[in-house]
Amino acid sequence: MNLDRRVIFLFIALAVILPLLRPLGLPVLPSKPVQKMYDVIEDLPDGSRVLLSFDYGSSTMPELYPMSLALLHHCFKRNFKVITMALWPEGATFAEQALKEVAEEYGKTYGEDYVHLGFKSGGLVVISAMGENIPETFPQDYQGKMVKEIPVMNGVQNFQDIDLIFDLSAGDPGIPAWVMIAQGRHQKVLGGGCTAVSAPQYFAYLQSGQLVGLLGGMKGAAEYEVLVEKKGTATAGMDAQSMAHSLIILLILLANIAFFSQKMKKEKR
Amino acid sequence: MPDEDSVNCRRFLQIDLDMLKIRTQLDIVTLLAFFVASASYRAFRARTPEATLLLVAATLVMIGRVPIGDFLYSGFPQVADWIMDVPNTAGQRAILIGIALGTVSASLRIILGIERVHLAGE
Amino acid sequence: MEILGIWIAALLTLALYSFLYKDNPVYKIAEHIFVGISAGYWLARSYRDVVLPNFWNPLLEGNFLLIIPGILGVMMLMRILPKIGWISRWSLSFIIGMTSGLFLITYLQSNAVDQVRATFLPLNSINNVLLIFGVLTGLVYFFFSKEHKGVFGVTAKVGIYFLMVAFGASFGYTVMARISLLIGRMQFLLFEWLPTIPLFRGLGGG
Repeated sequence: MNLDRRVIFLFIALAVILPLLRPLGLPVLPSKPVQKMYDVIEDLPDGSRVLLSFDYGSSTMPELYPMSLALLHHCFKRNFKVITMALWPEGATFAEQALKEVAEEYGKTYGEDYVHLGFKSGGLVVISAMGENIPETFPQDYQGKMVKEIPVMNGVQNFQDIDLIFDLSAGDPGIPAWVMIAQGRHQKVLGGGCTAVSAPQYFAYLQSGQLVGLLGGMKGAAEYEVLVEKKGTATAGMDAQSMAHSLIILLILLANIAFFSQKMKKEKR
Repeated sequence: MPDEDSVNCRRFLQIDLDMLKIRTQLDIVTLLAFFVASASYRAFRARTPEATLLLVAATLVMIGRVPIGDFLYSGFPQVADWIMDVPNTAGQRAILIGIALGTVSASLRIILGIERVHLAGE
Repeated sequence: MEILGIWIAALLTLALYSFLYKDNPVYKIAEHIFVGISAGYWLARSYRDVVLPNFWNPLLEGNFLLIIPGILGVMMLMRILPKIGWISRWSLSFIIGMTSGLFLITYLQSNAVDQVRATFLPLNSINNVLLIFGVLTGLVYFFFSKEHKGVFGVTAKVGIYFLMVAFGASFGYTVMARISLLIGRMQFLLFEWLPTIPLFRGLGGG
């Protein structure tokens, strides 16, 4: 069955656009790895220190940015002290933007309740150095203030002073680097959020307990949005995701039916 | 000391460039969505038992991971969960261990000077 | 000014998407703009985010030890000059040696030892048995020092089946990722760009 690829392109575009304009409102149910992550964060005591690393760039923004917002909502709602950083240059910009969007809603003050350390190049080496001394690795925050003079960083020397680390990862440096150093070397509680492309490979870390929870792609972000009761762009996109997946499955089925019917015809001859 | 206007102008250009770059980069990547769909239709055939397994697993994960899967049949998300938790984890772990052992042996070869490809130059 | 930015981005989007119909000059222009912006952007960003904070500013503050990595960095750049390209090998050797020394054990611990440990599960459920069996047969498949024949071959074949399911899951997730990015782009076009045109104001409740 020969179908012009432009017809397929048109169908895909419609499968995405129509549900965005007229949402079906299908319920989004949290999966186990996302629920686990939520529970771990929920069980932390008030005032815990959480480190969020924004290790992604613009090409994965639609998946990881909603995740960043949902996590920040949860952290601020639980009155945690939030420390953000980035191992990808653009990650620092996204962290600043996300903090600006969420912190105010909870009346949080920069320096008192949260701090943004900014970007540092070096990946694995940076994480390794942070395990020894965070203020020496990041002497200044994103705005150029001395980290030692920022109240929220009082008493934060290294990973031992952090209660939970969460990595928003789009590749390398990302979750594997954090697993190796923060979890492997320093036995820190580590959670991860990643692009859907890389999610399957991290299930091995999840089963082994090296990751306590995992948010995979826009769907993972939507599930977390539902859990923290802050529906955003990820949840809004789930109907379009459903329709596009259904269309692709339909196309695969049609192609295979045609393939087998042709094969049977040949065999009969 | 730069005057306030030039600082503001630079900041404005930076923000604008950030946005433009972010958005255009996304466009190139999103073209792939169309080609993935087209390739699924053209190349995804159950020709061999291995290809059939891949196809079935992919289809079940695709339907089980979106809200419509649960809407059509509540068992789809559970099947997708099982695929991810058991055979996927087993396969990914085998790959992970394989890569780790390969990396370690390659590193040892480099450290001991047996492997010198990285010094080959051009 | 924000509207101008939105319009430029939207028009570039449409220009790039025109490739879906067929290759055309408008797409080519947008593609070249993209390449140009990206190259300039990363050059500026690397200078601002890497060279200045990690090298130049601390150097001006008196941290003269940074001259050593600075020289190593310049030596690395020699690679672009064919005649003296060999100089880059010194920097490369330093990086490879340092990375191997610092992370070899950690890498082995996290990705091999801890993974093997997590596979030692009690044989009290079908899932545990399948997981152990899948990891073992998968590893057998990756063992190429022995020809895949007889019992060994059958085991490797079973390993391939587990790997195929894993690849299938990866394919499913890849489709999910690509569609998610497309959704992000469509959300921009529908809810940020279109409402700037009076005719479409109020689209999607916006």
